[in-house]
Amino acid sequence: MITDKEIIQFIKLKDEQGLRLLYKHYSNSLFGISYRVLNNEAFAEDALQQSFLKIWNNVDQYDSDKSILFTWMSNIVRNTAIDIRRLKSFEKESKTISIEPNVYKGEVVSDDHSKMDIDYLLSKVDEKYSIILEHLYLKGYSQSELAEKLDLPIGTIKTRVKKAIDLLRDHLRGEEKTFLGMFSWITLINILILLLWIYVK
Amino acid sequence: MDIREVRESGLLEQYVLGLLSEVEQKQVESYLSEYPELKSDIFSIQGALQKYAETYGIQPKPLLEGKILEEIRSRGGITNNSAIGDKTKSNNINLWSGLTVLLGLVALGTLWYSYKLIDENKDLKSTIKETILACDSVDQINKTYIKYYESMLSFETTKLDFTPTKGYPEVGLKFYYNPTQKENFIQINNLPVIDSNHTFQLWSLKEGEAPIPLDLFTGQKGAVLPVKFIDGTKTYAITIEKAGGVESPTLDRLIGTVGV
Repeated sequence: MITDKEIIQFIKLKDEQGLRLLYKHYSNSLFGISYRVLNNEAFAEDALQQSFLKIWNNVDQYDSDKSILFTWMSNIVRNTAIDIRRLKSFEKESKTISIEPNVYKGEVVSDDHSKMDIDYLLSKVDEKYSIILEHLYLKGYSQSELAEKLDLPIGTIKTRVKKAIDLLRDHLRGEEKTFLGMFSWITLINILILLLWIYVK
Repeated sequence: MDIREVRESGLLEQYVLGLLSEVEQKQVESYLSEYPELKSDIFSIQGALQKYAETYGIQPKPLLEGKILEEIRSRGGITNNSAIGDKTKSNNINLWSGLTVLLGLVALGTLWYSYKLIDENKDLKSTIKETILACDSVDQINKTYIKYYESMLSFETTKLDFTPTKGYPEVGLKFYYNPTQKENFIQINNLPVIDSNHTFQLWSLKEGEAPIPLDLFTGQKGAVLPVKFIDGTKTYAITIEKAGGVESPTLDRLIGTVGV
């Protein structure tokens, strides 16, 4: 598995391989953000293209001590898409249309169970948290815009942001524990088999 | 605020989402300096949001990757291609050049010391550090190519030959197909000569479906290229297309196919 550090090294050396790897690993997630901000396929492609160019040219500004690579890139994509939205002056229309990714001709990518679990956790268990993250993180709304749209006090929006992220983090921590639990059981069984084999010998 | 209050305030989540004012951001940054352990909270929040974004990822059109690569190429941003043979050679040359430069710089440094030019000595140290970093970068790249080779030599990988079409008997391409790891590689032995306005394009062919456009590439003899793996593909085919790629293959410019 190629690490983010290796991808960054390729890009710093201006090696095309870095760009290919970056696209392979992150294009779906980044395009998901771009598309939801703009609600228009051609503009979303344009935003992603501009963003990759910015990432390529400004990779030296990325500080791994402050953020993971995806956070840095997703900020570039979201800001680029918001700039295009302002430029194209179709903000009002796009915000009033409910975006349903399944109707888009591209595929919604959700290729492992943990991702589907997150989807379930946020959209089925408590939609009031899901909608907050969707608008602030994926669609590029400000807190005040969202408060107005949902007719909620801004304090409630802030509380729900924290709750939504706490739910996500708890869920991911739970997955790690389950994995470690399984790992320790497998290790224990292996040790027992080994002891049994030594005893029989 | 103490660390517990910072964690419960929701400021960290809003900081990561970029929802804070400049003053509030500085406030959070001062908390991060005061309580370094909060950094792991920041990374954890970022990781959770990355998972969330992956959940809602949307696959862009296959040709977008080619467009982006072309755009960056046209601006002269790419200094080298992925020809592994050339790369390894040039990496070795770079490594030796780097070492030679390093030794030269060390000798210079000694000379500067003898003349007690302390300021310039500082510059030298900085150059040495940069050279070492450059060597590390080259090492990282070599490791990546070693990973490619390991995958190609894996027992799960099948080595196949592209069958040239009638008009292109000179085509010589190996195809490394690993359905377990879902990885494909192409090794170039010989390709028709094309001008800079054209490119080679890989296609996935499935029964009863339109050809799916995949990678665009040009390359020299010996180059190894990782290319896309598509589930359910019966045959991979290569055509010559205009630079930037196309949505449907030009059949009279089909140069080879390989059945998997």
